[in-house]
Amino acid sequence: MILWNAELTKRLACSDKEKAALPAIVQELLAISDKTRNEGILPLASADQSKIDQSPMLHYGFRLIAEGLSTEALEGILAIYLTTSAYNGFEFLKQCMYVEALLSIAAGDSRELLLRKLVPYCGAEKAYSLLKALDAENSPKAL
Amino acid sequence: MIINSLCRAQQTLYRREGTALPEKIEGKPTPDDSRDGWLTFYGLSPRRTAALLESAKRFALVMNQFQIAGKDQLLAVSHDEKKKLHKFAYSLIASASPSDSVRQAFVSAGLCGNALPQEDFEAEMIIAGTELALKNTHPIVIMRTMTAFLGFSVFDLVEKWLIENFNSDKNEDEELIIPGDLPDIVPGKNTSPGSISQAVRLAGPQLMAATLAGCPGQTIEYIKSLAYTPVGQILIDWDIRNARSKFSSEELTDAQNAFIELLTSFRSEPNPDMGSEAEEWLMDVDEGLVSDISNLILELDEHVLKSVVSAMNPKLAASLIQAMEPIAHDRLFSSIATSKSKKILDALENSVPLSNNELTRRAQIFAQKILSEIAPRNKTLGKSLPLPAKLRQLLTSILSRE
Repeated sequence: MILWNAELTKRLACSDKEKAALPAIVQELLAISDKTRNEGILPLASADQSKIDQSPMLHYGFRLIAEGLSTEALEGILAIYLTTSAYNGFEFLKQCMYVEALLSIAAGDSRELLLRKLVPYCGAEKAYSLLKALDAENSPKAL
Repeated sequence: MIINSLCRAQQTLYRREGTALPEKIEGKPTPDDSRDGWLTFYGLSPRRTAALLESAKRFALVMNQFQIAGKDQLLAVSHDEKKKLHKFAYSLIASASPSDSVRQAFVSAGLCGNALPQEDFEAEMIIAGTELALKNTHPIVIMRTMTAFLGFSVFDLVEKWLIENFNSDKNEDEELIIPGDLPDIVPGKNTSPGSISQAVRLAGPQLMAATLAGCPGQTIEYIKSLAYTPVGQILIDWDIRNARSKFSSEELTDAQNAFIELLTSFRSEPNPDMGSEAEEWLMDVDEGLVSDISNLILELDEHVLKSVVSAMNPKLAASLIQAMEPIAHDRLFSSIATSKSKKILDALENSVPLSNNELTRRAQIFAQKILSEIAPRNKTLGKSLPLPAKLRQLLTSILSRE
């Protein structure tokens, strides 16, 4: 069951123009998850990841994953970081997607499952077309 | 999904009527706004942050003492405690209150439920810590949860503090070695850091602790170095100690086998970035041959399998493993001595993917060795061997391939 909260919905709201940037974020997160499958988590938890350093949530999130916390504990901690942040709109939605990806990677999900967890953030219509494109091309990297 | 946790947290923290949502932030945060580029709703001053961090440290240390020394220790600390929030939390923990009624207890006691969330900041931290303590959570997790309210600016400080304060028990650990194949499998060329790390995450802390609890120190340290930060290593050591006292040797062996199965399942899955040559090989591999070899291994009498594999060149065994399902790997390795397993794994490390033709040829050599083993030494020409039908069909299928 997916819970619903009016204030949270308001906080997540962003424009269509902003939503158009979401598939690129999905792609970026899939690439990061591929990297974890090949190299493990520790390289991403190190300080030298310039790409990840741009996002404190990803940088510190990977360090929390490498602390080996249970999924429940990790989700609780990341939810506190998100809820107490001052972000709204597109930036907040982006941080939520980062956390969704972190939790999926922490749980050892496959690439396909991660994709299916991320595409709903792009909206139902876009999610459907993204998944359809993936199935049609039958390629793990298709988007 | 994180959305459900967010809904609960949003409901809890901003539940008061008339509470304003965080103001919208335009553009990227500047370094002046926050040292780590992360902005928090509460906008705490450095001084207030430091005070709250001290409060969390104190709580985590008391929880550590409580878990080691028990309720009497906690009651003694509670007696001397000056801060109402801490004192009340300790009393709830000592009385083993239900964790889901902690918030209501704080509200009823007038320690939480102010009009503005900012005024309840420390109470929220302590409530979160108390709920976890009542679930017997490790103080490191309690500390990480409580300090999440302070944003990422204290993350590194907390890490350093946790290492300083919780890294003292390591030398007291005694090795417990139970029968299992994991020490022979890792480290190995076929177990990449990525696959080990992913298997560790998929297994979760409890299975991982039970898996490592029966391994030699060298294996434990190797896996820890691949998958855990120093704080994570402290936590898994704690979980391993618990697993050793909680589970029987049989249960630890089962855990190790379950983890090996996870790990080998990654080894047999195509990896998007593993390189075109390996990818092509995986696409070309003859599934029928894989199935026949695997079923043959599973169908063989244990004595025959042991005899054939023990006498087999490790390179031949390693090449067969390339075309075998994980369940057949397990049977093959469980039938032979550890020293032989090690030789096969060494050969496997140095092997390259073989073509279908080469695999077929090696499978046929294997099938012939089985027939030689089964055939009686005084077998009469023209008389068929007394083989079970399934075994006969598998051997015929392999030997008739071109």
